[in-house]
Amino acid sequence: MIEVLHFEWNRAMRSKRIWFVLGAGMLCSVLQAVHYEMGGIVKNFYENSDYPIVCWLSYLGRDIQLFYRSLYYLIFPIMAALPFAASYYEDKQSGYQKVLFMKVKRNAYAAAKYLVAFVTGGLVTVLPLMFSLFLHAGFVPGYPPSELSLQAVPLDGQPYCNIFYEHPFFYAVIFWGIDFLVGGCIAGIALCFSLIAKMKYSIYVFGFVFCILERTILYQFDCVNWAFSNIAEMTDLLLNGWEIFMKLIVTVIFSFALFVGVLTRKDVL
Amino acid sequence: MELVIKDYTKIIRKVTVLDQINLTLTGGKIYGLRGKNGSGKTMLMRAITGLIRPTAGYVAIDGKKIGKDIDFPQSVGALIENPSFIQEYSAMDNLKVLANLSGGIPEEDIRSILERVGLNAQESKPFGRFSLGMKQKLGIAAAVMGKPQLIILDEPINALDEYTVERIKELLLELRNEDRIILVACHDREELDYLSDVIIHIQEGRIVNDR
Repeated sequence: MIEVLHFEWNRAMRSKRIWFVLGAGMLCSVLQAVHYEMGGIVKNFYENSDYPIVCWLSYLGRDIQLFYRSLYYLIFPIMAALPFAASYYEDKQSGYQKVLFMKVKRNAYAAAKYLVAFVTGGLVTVLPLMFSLFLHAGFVPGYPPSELSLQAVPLDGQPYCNIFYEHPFFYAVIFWGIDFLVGGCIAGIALCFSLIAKMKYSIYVFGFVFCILERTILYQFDCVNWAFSNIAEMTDLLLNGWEIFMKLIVTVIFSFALFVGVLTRKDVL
Repeated sequence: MELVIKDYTKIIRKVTVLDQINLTLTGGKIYGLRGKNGSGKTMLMRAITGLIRPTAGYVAIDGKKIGKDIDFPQSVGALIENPSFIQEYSAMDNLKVLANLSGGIPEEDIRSILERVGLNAQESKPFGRFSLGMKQKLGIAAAVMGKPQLIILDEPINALDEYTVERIKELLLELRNEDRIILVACHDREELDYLSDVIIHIQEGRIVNDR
């Protein structure tokens, strides 16, 4: 299991796609920071707001002044699926799967595939956010956040609200952890879809389509808070920490069992 | 080593692709598989390597049933259909990763097998830029690397020049003498007759005779 995990991880790291996606995320962070500084948003806050702008609320993960965050959370399901979710499909199409299935057990192969897709999906979702906060900390003050701020602060009833005001960095770490799991879940769901996919590109966009459909359906039943896109953004979210983790853990268990279960029983033609 | 195929039947989408196959293969022999396109040669190879699961019957290696006791034969090397490897890796790197997955084969042995099939172990050219013949040579090298107990080759001499064909034949005969089971499918009747100790004729998923 360790050998095949190591092998799949190396394949992911040696592929150009993961670096392309990370580069695109980092570029988004840099553009947002440049736009913030050049657009005079920081200066405007000092002059017109009761409370100065703080980096905890201005970085890519929390900002509501510019469009970059909305764009980021719109495309993150595609970013999460790009690095490795299509790798099973590629192995199947090229015939490499036949070579591997005579070297490693199918369940070890499937588990390693899922794990690497999950971790790479989570990493490409979170690393640009982390980079953005550290970038903003370079030119935006790191005061403790205040409810008086004109930025998007978490309100009472929203998850980890108290932690945000007392330990904003710790809140950011929890937020990244949740986004890591959401990115991983989307990659895992896209990997499951690759079991029946007929075209490689459909795997990349599947997470995106899934998130839109899920949100639309949950909205009809008045439970839009449970949508992946809402959990990832964590703004206007009315779930508690346990509910968030329950949704994510159930998704991980279900998608993992589905992928491993189907793959181990499937004929390789 | 003994490979037993007992009443093996495989039905895919209501089509019987393998029908009541009964065979016993023992070490130290080359088995030649002959049959028309679509007769079930490749499907039989897939069955032996555990790539497909039977509708009825079983394949057992030294008494262990594939799909029940083991996922695939413990010591197998196969080239089934087109050789496929990681496009960005060189021949040496591709074989090294496969060797690591199957428990480790000394680098010197990998180097030696590459030279024997006519590939340069030092060459850094990625697999994606290999010619058809080079891909085939690497496929054969991967199959025989580490001298597995069971070697399965589907059309191994396709796209190879005469000189390489001779080297491959020499290699297979050498492996046979080391008590390996070798199963080869080939359209070239003369080559197959020359190589094989036993010819298995397959037609519409059934063994029609073996001598």
